[in-house]
Amino acid sequence: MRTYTDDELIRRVWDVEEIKKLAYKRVYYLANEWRQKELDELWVSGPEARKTASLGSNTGFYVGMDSIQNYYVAQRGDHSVGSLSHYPVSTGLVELAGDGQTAKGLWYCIGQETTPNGDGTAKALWITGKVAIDFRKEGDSWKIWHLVLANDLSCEAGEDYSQGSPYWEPESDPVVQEFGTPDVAVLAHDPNFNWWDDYPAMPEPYETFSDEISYGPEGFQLPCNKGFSAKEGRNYK
Amino acid sequence: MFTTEQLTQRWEDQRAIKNLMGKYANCVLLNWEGEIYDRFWSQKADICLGFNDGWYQGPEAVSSYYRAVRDRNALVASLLQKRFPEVLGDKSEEEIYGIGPFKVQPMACPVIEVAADGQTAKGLWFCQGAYNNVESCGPVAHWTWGYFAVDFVREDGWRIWHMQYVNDVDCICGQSWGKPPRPLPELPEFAPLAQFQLPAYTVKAALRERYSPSRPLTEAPRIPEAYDTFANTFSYGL
Amino acid sequence: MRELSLHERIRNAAASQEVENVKARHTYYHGRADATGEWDNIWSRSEHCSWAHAFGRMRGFDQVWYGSVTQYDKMAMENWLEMMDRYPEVGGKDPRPLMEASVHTLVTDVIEVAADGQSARGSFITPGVIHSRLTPEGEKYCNVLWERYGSDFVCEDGKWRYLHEHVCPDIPGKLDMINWAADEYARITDPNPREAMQPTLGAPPPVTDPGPLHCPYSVLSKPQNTVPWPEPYDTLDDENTYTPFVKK
Repeated sequence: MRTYTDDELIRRVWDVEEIKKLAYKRVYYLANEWRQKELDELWVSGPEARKTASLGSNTGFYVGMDSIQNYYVAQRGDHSVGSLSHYPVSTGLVELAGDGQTAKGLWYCIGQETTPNGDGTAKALWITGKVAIDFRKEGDSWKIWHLVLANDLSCEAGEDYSQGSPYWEPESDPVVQEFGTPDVAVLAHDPNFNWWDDYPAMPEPYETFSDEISYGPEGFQLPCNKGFSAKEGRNYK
Repeated sequence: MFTTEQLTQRWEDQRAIKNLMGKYANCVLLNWEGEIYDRFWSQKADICLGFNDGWYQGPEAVSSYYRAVRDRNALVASLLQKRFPEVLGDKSEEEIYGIGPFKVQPMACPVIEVAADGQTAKGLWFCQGAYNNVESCGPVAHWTWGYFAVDFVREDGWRIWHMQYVNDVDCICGQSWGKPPRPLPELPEFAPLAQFQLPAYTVKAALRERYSPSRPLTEAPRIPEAYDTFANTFSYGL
Repeated sequence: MRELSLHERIRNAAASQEVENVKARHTYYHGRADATGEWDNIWSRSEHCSWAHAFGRMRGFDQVWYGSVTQYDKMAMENWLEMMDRYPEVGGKDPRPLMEASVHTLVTDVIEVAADGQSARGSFITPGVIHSRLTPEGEKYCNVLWERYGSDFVCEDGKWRYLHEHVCPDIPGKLDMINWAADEYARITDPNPREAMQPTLGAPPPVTDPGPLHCPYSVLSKPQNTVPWPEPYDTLDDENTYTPFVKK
């Protein structure tokens, strides 16, 4: 384990604070529908990092800033009236690499997304899930590099969540539908089994970044035993 | 670039400000509104406290708001004492104070900037809250989705200078904030609460329109930005 | 609290972040019902460690392990066995996270590190959700459970670990199918009131300090200040702790 001088240690403490602040700023940018601004200001801008940047969810990953922009901004639609998005994150767990060039963080979000129905009412959804982020230092600033939104459930406000099929049905899940068809289609988080798949996992202390620990698609591994999808092994009667 | 000592001091300032807001939220939860002004607010003459519909401006107006909430808490407790004499009947006013309301204002997503001169600071929090004030329909729980936006000033430690607590959503638990609210029926035992009025705002102003399906997209309070001295940044106050 | 040198202040700033991480690890371990991982990796083995809830306080690592790991795993295994006929796909999977995802998020932290740098204390509000899809009853659920935490941590061989945890459930209920205040009022004014919802899963484990140590929100009680926020302090002692030490 490295040891640090006082000056090095307090600068590392501040790196962690800046990383948390970046994750929190994203919450306010989302509420403001500043999606393009988020990509421009909070995400990586170096040419190599732009290529490997990724945005993941339960069903896969968009890779590269152009692809992320196409999904995240261009296809977002008009939210100028009657929309309300809050994705506050909490429970931050941040590990700064020993070399100080990258960091990994995990948060949980109990959020909501409200969209107008066009008849004077709106559909309000509770949306919960983990938010995992790899950060990269560019100059003196920290930037988002890989981001995973692992959705656990969505539930209409004022309705009984327990009604209906217990199974997570991607075909009708509004979060999955909104995510569209990612570049790397893979069942990254199957909420049928709660957190059994342990994805995304807690960051652990590390010295330097490698693909194996990435929250990008290169770091995703299927759980070690079979039957990851609830559809496997379900049908014996 | 800050020195090692300056960085340490700035970190301690930021931690102290998080702690201050955590204590504030705990005081609200415990119905200790009677203590909030003295514990947390600045001595400055230009303090202000804003809600969705207006401002309390100046020490007298801000402190009178908290006194009124304390008085309302006392009224709720006395009504519950009348309603449940077998449980609460033999207790003194002091013993029953605090019974009834339960208000949780969790502080999340802090973005805090301490001025380079170390004399002031700004913070923005997201607050996904839950509360039961006890109303003229009796106890009723609400969800809230909103923000705390606060300016702080260094006096004997950090103090609140300007504060906005504004909500997008204030919805009865068990209902959707996307649909018209279905109020609960009034209960005669809590009727006096309908007459209780908090002090009028010093400045009536639409700080933030609450969410409705026809509301235009409304941005969060401005995110704090790094600054050197308060004169060179924006204010969360009036 | 005594004045600290710059070196001590920096050490304590880093310590404050470390305990935030320990606390968050608790949430993520608990979300997977991985009690073994939690108590193995982030807890002190001290005879002074304690874990308290509404039902009382377990003291000493062995009692905490029995109540929080052994008994908890037992519930998970029983749940798994009961689910198998209805959901054969759960076979081969770790039974623990299949029980539920009990996610106690952390906000409103008030954290103080002792002047001696050997302990830290934190209070938190935790607006949480508890959910599961595949259940023996065939019905998914999502509950809300809003609580407060009072947590003491100690630094052992340079690593920060939990020493005391006091969990204070305030608002339990089924997400958006209850009004926790109006329903509670209706319950207590009912001529034949039903029992209040229990904030813990299963039967309480054996404890050293019997409860109730904290009760969920009631229309007829003051909000309890069971885990007061920590004040600046010099060293962990009976004046500054969420579990008074037992004198021998």
